[in-house]
Amino acid sequence: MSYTAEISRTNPTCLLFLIDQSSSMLEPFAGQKDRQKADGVADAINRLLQNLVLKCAKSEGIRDFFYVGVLGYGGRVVSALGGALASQAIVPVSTLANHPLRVEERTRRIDDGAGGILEQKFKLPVWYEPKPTGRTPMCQALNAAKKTLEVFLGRYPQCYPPLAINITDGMSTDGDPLLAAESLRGLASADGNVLLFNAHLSALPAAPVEFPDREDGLADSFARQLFRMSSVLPPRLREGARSEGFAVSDGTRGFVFNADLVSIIRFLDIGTRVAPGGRMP
Amino acid sequence: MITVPPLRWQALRLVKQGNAAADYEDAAAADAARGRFAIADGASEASFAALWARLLVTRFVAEHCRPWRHLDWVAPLREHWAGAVDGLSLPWYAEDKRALGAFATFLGLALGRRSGRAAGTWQALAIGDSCLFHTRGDRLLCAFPVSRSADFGNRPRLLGSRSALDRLDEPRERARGKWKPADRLLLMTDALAHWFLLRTEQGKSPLAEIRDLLAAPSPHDAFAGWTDERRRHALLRNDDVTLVVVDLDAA
Repeated sequence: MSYTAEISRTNPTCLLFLIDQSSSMLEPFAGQKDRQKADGVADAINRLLQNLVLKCAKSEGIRDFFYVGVLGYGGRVVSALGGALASQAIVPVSTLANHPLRVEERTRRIDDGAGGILEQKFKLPVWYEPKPTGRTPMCQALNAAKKTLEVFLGRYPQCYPPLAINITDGMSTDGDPLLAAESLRGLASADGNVLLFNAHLSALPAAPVEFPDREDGLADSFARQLFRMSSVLPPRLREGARSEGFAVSDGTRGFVFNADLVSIIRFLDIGTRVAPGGRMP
Repeated sequence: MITVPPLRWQALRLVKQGNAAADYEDAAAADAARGRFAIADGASEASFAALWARLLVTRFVAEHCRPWRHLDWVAPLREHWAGAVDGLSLPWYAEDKRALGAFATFLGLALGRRSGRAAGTWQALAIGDSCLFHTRGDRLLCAFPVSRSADFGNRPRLLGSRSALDRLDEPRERARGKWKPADRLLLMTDALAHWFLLRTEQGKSPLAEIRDLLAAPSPHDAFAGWTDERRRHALLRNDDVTLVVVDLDAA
């Protein structure tokens, strides 16, 4: 059975994020005048990276269950991590954890379990800042992701299949991304094909859609195209989604519209999940 | 008067393959003189979970009141855990994980009998999927709290070290039973318990396999080799493994 390889420090997998940095990202997000899509993307990617790091954090440090890369595409395709991580295609998650651009301190209010509210300080790391420019070479980005993952698969041929997670407003300017997506999904480890998931951030004030199993009802042609580019969720990820209350079927795909994909990080199995009382941020 | 029956016990443990011995996050404790035994499984996605698991098992076996009846004895442990970790200077990610608290599954067992009787009762408390199996000869009399291999998952109920983050809906389960002389009770964390139930469902005899391991010249070495082999063939999930075997003496 595929998609069952253990994710471990000796057999890690790779998460590669593709971030749309094109100038169209300056448009407002989901009908909110004062919020650009680019800010929505930055929030999404920083939350994804934070959740990934926290998933691997233990008392003694970070366990390198994952390698992580962030490719930005706006005008051209570049590594979008900054500071000490600049220009590196992928890094172990421990390196990512220890080199955010900065760590902001925020406060959140939580239920104290006895009818009161507690204020809890927490740190918010920032790895990625929006810098929208140029056109949207999504095909080039998918091809660059393929090259990076080919190298990773050469090193870890038995790994749980790498995940490419594309966050975009959907308007490719360098051709039909369906073919490039298919080619990327054609890569495989012994455990299964590379997974491509897409998060579509749209200017349309349409209701969020998470993990659909059909394209009818999606807001526009870009959403439908991104749906078609997205991998069907393998059984264990599908069960993870089901157990969190998502309505899923055998045809459910790794696609969200005006929503984030942080839940995917939770669905990845590295051992006993902290679920009932302790909620991941 | 309730007394503790004559018994023998032993514990076998093994860290997840690929991890260092210090990464072991299960815990087991026993106080044979009190007839108390406990195991816990620190959640792998939590921090300082090994400490939390150790605190739970050692308190359960030493607790004066009857700790299988309620969870009042857990509150001081939460303070103890917080006292041990809250002052540490940590990187941002470890701080965040610490704020969430540690989590563990737990199983506690207490054995007793009325003075002058040959047989007696056992009481058990469980949170999550650490399991108890009560056996007589080759028969499985009781599996608690999980009784089917299909019911294991990677989201068991957990006992948290931060009460503020716990729903306090007390997801505990209780069971009791009657033991006779020469009965065997086995406590297992989830990977081994899953294997045990699956083999039982397949009509095999996991009890005989365990009996052979315990009869080996070095049960620890035999258990390590046996576990490795089953992990290699994907018959046993790669996880920390803990087994406590309690044998009531024959009459």
